[in-house]
Amino acid sequence: MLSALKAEFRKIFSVRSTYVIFALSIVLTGVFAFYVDGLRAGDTVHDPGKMAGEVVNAVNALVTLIALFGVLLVTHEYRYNTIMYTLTSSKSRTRVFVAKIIAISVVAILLSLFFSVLSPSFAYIGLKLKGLNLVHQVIPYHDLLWRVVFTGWAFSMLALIIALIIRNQIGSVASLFLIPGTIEALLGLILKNNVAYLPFTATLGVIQHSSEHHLLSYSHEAIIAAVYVVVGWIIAWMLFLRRDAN
Amino acid sequence: MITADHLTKKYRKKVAVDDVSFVIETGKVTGFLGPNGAGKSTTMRLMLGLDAGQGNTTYDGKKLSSYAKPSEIVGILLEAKAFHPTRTARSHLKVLAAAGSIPDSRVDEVLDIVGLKEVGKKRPGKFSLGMSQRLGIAAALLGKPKYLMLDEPANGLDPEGIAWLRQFIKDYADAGNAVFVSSHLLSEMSQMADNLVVIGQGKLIASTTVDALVKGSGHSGVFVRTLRRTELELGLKNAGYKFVKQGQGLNVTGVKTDDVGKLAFKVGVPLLELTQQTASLEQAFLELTADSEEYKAQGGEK
Repeated sequence: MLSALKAEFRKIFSVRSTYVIFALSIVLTGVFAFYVDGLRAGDTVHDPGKMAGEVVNAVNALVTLIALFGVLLVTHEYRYNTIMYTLTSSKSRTRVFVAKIIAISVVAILLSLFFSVLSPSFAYIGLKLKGLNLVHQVIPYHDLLWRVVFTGWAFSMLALIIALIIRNQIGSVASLFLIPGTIEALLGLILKNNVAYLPFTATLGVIQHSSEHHLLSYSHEAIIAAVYVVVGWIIAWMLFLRRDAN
Repeated sequence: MITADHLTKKYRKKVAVDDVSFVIETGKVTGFLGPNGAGKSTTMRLMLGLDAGQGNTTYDGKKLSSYAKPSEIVGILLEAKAFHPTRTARSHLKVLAAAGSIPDSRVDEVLDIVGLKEVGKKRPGKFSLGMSQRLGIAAALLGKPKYLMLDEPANGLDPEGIAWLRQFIKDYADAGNAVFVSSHLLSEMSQMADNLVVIGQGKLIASTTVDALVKGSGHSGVFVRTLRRTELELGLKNAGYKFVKQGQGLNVTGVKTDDVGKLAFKVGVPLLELTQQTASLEQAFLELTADSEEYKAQGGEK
């Protein structure tokens, strides 16, 4: 199991796309947190929840990019046919499956935490450079911490599941960008408040409520998202075991 | 010994591999031949458990998945370009080494073996087909496996590379391992293979030694030419020999020149030519697979 896990981490950190996505995420954080919310900040300096808001914004904005790591980890294997090496090196396909889940979980959680610290830090530096001082900030550390970790992790898991089911790189990336932002938003027109029960909406609802009325608590949204993740794992695992590796 | 037992693979209505069974002996090179689309790659994938299908493949009596380190049992090269183009050759091998619990030091060893040490830090996206094949062979060798399964490993190699590969495969098998190799280069196959497995349209056509396959060909036998062919034909028929007309003479199979010479003397037919003929592997292969070619080029009629 450890060898499979080591191989998955090596896969992630030995391709150019990893560093490109990471750099892009930092640039986006710089633009929105440092420039927009820092250097060009207006009245928001009087908001006691500004820094907490920066954390929420960072996770909301970057969760899709973070999820790309999982999508690419899986789809690169099929696109370049390295999956044949991966599967013939391991005693069982389940080990490979679990290793991918663990590797992406670790990456997703660490990156979510990293950007949830980087974004408010950038905003703070921007404000200081502009000579502004924040009012006393109220930051619910524990509440924010589990919501950041869960959202980053669950969103990446859903993306990983999509990639494991679709396997095609273009199809998986397109789905990652279309399902949360477009398809679930369109379904929201029909489902109204029940949109909160859709997988990506529920996941993002953990970091920021999915409806104005706050019908579901953060923990309820987390439970809904977790159910989708577990069911998705089971479907993806069964397909991973049974399908031809190509 | 690898035993492939009743391998079958169906794609909806099409049967890609149809109840194929054969044995790959240790210490020998086993060639895997078949026309395009015969099911060679699918058979190899079935043997490795990469494709879902019926049948079993055992490696020394055990399934590949029952070994703690499958990379030490079988090394594979199924596709030359099976690597991420932006991952350096060395990193590619390090990923595979990690997956197979193989020490990283082995990576440099295999790069050296295949002659890619100088380009180990380069990204293989722009590698030529020959260099990609070498990288694939390096990947197959990582775990010092007992069995090598190579699908068209000579594709894209230059003549020096082909000669190196031929010798390498023979040496590998001689060291007590087994190599199962498919190739369209029949002349190469005849030089390196001890045994052959031939399939056509998914079915096993032959599983035999190269010598037996060549000797059993209709092109092998004794060529005999005479001005009194009808009398000789009658004599051969009466003696129970099998023969076919070939140009101005006859090709008698399953006999030696002595037998035909003695018979001609006995029936009083003077001979103009009496030659032992040995078919090439290509002739034997084409003869065997004549009815099972799925994709045939049309004749050059204008």
